[in-house]
Amino acid sequence: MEKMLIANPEIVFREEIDEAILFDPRTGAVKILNETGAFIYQMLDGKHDLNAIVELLMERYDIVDREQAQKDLDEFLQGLRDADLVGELE
Amino acid sequence: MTAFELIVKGRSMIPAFCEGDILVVEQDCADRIKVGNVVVYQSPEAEGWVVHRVTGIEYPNGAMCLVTQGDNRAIADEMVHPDWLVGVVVGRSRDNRCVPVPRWQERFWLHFAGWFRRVRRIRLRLLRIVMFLLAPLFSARLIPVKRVRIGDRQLTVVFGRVVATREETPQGTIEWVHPLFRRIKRVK
Repeated sequence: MEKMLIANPEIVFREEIDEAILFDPRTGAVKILNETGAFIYQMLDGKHDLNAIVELLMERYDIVDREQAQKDLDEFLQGLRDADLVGELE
Repeated sequence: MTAFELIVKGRSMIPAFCEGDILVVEQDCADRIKVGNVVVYQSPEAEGWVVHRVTGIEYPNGAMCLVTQGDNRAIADEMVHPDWLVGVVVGRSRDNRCVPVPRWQERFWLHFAGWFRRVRRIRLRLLRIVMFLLAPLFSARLIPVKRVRIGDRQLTVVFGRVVATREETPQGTIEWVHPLFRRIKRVK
């Protein structure tokens, strides 16, 4: 079964106009997300699986190429994983 | 006049500033500092910058020194020499613009931070009682406890808050449990 991704609960998420700021109080690291990234990050709540997020993205941004959307999402999430900004629900 | 942005790390200025708040700090304004302002300084003996409120200005040996204290701290810091000053907090950054911290707000926290600390202590005592009462609900699995794996760390999350962490390091396992949850076996 696919593990559900969840935003790291230790990260401070601040939404601004057209972007969001992720701040890790442990390390002081900051990452800025664009509007789409911020939307995806908010969907990582342990309730939406990756398929549901792809559906939501396609609906919100009128994307027709599902495969490309899935690929972009995987790439984005890998970046968040590498920076310990998301984890897996056990 | 130069200014820069700074992200708050730590909880010593709660409730005025919380972790992750972005502050706008103005440099080169030591001569305009007033009691109630929040300053950023670096003590030569400590690592990192400190963001604390000025609670007094004194002149030992004729030179100006600042008395500072975190709003969430019970005791004052050591005297801050003007050479240690990095700048003064003039506002918060919201949507890429500076929202100034009004003077009345600085005065308010200067006078009432102590009351808020007392309220927080009372709240902590009440929470201990609440946790004692909730313990059976945790045992009966009526309160959801989530485990999240972030790299080498395992976080235990209750009501969206991290209440315990476990980290595998080359030196061994480092565990932390929030003091309110230490009696609850399920979060360990």
